[in-house]
Amino acid sequence: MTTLKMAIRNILRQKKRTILLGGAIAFGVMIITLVGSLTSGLAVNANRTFTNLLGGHIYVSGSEVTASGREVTVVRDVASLEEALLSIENEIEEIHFRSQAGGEMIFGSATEPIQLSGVDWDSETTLRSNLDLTQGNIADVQLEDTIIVPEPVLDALGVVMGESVLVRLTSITGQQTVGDFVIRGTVADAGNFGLASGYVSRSYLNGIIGMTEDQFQRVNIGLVDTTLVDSVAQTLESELILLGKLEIVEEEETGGPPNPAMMMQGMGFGFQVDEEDRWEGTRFVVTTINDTMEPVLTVVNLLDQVALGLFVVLLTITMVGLLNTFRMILIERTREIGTIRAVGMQRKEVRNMFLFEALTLAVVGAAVGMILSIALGAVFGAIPFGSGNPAFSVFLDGDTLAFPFNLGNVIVTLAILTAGTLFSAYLPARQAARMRPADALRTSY
Amino acid sequence: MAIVTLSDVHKVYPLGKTEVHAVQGVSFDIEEGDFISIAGPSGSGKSTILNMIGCIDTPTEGSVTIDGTVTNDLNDNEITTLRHKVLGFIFQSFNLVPVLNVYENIEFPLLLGKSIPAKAERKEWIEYIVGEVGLDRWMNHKPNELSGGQRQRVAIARALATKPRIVLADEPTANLDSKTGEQIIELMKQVNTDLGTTFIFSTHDHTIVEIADHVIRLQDGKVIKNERRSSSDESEAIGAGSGTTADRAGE
Repeated sequence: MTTLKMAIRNILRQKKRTILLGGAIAFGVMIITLVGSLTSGLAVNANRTFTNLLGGHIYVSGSEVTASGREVTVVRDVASLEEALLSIENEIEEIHFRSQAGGEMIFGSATEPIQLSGVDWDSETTLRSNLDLTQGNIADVQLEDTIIVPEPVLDALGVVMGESVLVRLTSITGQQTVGDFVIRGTVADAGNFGLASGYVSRSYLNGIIGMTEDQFQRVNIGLVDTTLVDSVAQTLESELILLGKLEIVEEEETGGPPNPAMMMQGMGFGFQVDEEDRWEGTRFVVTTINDTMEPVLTVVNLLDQVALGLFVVLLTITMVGLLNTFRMILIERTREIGTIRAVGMQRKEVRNMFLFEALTLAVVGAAVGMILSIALGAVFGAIPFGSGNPAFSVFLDGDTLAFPFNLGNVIVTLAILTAGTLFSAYLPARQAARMRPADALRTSY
Repeated sequence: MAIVTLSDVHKVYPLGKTEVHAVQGVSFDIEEGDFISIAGPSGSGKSTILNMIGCIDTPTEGSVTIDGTVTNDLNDNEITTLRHKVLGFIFQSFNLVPVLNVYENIEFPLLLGKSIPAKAERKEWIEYIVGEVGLDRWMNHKPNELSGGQRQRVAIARALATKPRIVLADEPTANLDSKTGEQIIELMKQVNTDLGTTFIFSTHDHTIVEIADHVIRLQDGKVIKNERRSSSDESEAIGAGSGTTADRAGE
């Protein structure tokens, strides 16, 4: 207690020096925490954007070969799929069965590319509540020929709400077909990765692309714990392998992980399958949001590494400053150390007094740095960035950046800072503790 | 029984490539309750001997026995504990801890060691000794708010805080004016009489030498006079036992 009290009093002895050193620590921690929460925010926002865009975290698509040797993307073997899903049922928060098709919207002589997601509006309550309509009423999705499109598509085609448009699509067997839709809602989203995405009724879309009303092409699974995406996907894959229903997609074949564009496109083009490669029944392909987000995560990881490098540089500078300061303190207080040793303070207590002093400085500096970073995060988080760059919009929460408080980062920063501080102050502290009282008392500076 | 015994103590300091023989074969005893002055000119070895009695320095040769314990063989922890329990220090430059106020400076030694007295007990004792040194109204002041005499009074109170059997005072009046110096000496003499605490001074100050009941005079690191005064002011020369002490009481 005496040691701690004296350590705190000693910190307040040289206020200017304390403010400078504490300020340096606070600045370093502020930068690190701010960059750390920025990268966390980018990752969280990107994850949410992709989850909304792709409708879940794990995606299972099914394909089969028709009698004529064409590959069609449709899940008819629902029993196998349901059996496999039982292995991960506790991890599932929501599950949606969708159809998808890529094509062109046609109005007069104008055309615009669009990817359509066929959704079951009755079960997709999350999507209904998340869709931020700029025009129209979400209740109108009950009308089967409703299409919800991004505003820019509407503008490009020169159509207004309530007008009918044609959409040229490709059926699952590769036939060209046309659907008739009525625009009853718009969203602000200009699309991601150059894709405009629209939402229609699944049963209505199925009718156009050659499927029955209740069929689907893909299952989108939302997980309770998004950190378990890879392990849950692996469990599901293992189950499908046991059932003999999994198609292993090698990266060499696809040229890398699937990108959102690939994920969004309709999957049935009716390619002819070589006779020796054909299979019976439905075969499934499992992909995850992490596969899709890999390029984004690479950017985030790169930022994290830059932040780490910055942290190491700032920590080194701060620790050298701390070491230097404590060597000065040691010289200034030599006689005082001699006195307290003469009076009966043990070496260990002298050493601890110095370490407490350094630690208190570091902890207070870190606390101030974190408070500042939270305040700055709130300020930067309020600056609207607009939607000028669609690729950048992936990282935004609405039109602003997010700076979530990341407890893990804070704990790691504090732990490293504490270790660095103790390491820097240890040598002067040990030197102080080892001073012979008579020598210390004889010192005249 | 002697509370302090020095037996053939030598102290050699390295000074560049040469050596300084600060203390050369000194032997003497100090009895409990003594008010003893170690006198001599600068460089005679007064402070070095005081440091060795205070266990903040060690002899190069010979032994120092404090309260029956030979200090030569103790490790740093044991010697620190011995200092804390048996010894109190008063320094020439007061050496108070600047970040602690008067009360806290006096309390400081009480908070060290394994058996810390209860808060109420500490408070009662500190208030008593603060009263004895006449600083009741200055308890919450920091050392830089006190005069030299007041600071030395705090130092005396701090030295007495752990109720030590021996108080070592290295030139306690050197930084004080003569009147304040006299008051400080009177205060220490009073404590010596009231509490039976052994006081050992190193000093140039004639006032202390005159009031002391035991005077050891040093020159060039050797004892040239070891004189105990009786209550009737008659001096008694004491043999040091090792044969190295010059017995010149009659000179």
